[in-house]
Amino acid sequence: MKTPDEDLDNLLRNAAADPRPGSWIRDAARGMEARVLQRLAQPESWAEAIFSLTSWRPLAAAVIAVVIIGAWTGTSVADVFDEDWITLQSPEEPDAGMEDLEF
Amino acid sequence: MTAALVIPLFTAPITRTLPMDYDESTLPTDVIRAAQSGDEGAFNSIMRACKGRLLGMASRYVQSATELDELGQDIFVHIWKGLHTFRFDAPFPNWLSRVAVNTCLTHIKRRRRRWSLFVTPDEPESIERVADHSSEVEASGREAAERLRPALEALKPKDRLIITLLHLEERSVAEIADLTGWSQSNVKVRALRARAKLKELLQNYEDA
Repeated sequence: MKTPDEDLDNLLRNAAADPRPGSWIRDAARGMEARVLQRLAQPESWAEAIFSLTSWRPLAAAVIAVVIIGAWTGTSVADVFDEDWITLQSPEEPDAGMEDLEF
Repeated sequence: MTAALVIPLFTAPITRTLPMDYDESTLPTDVIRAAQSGDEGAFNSIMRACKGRLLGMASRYVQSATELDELGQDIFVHIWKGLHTFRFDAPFPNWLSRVAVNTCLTHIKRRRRRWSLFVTPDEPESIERVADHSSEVEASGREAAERLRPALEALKPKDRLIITLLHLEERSVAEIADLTGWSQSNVKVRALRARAKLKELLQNYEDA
């Protein structure tokens, strides 16, 4: 009768002879170089893309976004501190725009 | 490097060597140096030379050709990123194997996390489906691999790595120590513990 250790050794020895990895290797090896080079040409992840020195596009997009948002919010903030602009902003009368209506 | 193309891209010229066929053990130093300096053609030559062996190593940690393709790409991406750290103080194939083993370890850690969340252990590939017209040895190999699979998946990643290197790849303790960076006594202790755990897991699956 076999000991559990012998059983395990046999199982491992047989599993090592599994023929399927051979065909997987052949399939995966075909064109592997091209796929790797293609992958190397692209940024790995968002974090890498943003901080990558070889990819300027995400950085340029971020700078443009900051400039647009900065310009937009900057003028609004400037208006708030502009006293002349504030005095021009009177609240609309409740019936404003109603005078042309005929009943 | 006789065959070299200089491709002007933006303002800086990038030298791209045409990929050549070499034997892995006799890869010229200048090819490795060229790849280290960013020459994709030279790196292509390195991939050609070693992909068979490295994919062979990686094939023990996957379940399909698609998964092997992904893992193989991960290995080569890591090699490319770490190539500048190779100092020519050890044989290049050994350094490549070390990167491959580390990438495989990361892969099985990630896979185990996913596996424990989404996959139940009772879904092994159907033996009937894989055992078609092949020889008895091949069929028993497949059957054994499928019996072993759930237990291997349930092992801790380092335990699985050591069982695979020691029993499925039949490497020596010294080789495993070199590949993993662990001491030889550490390898032996880990191997003993991993075997005991594997035996226990197999017993549990068979009793269930």
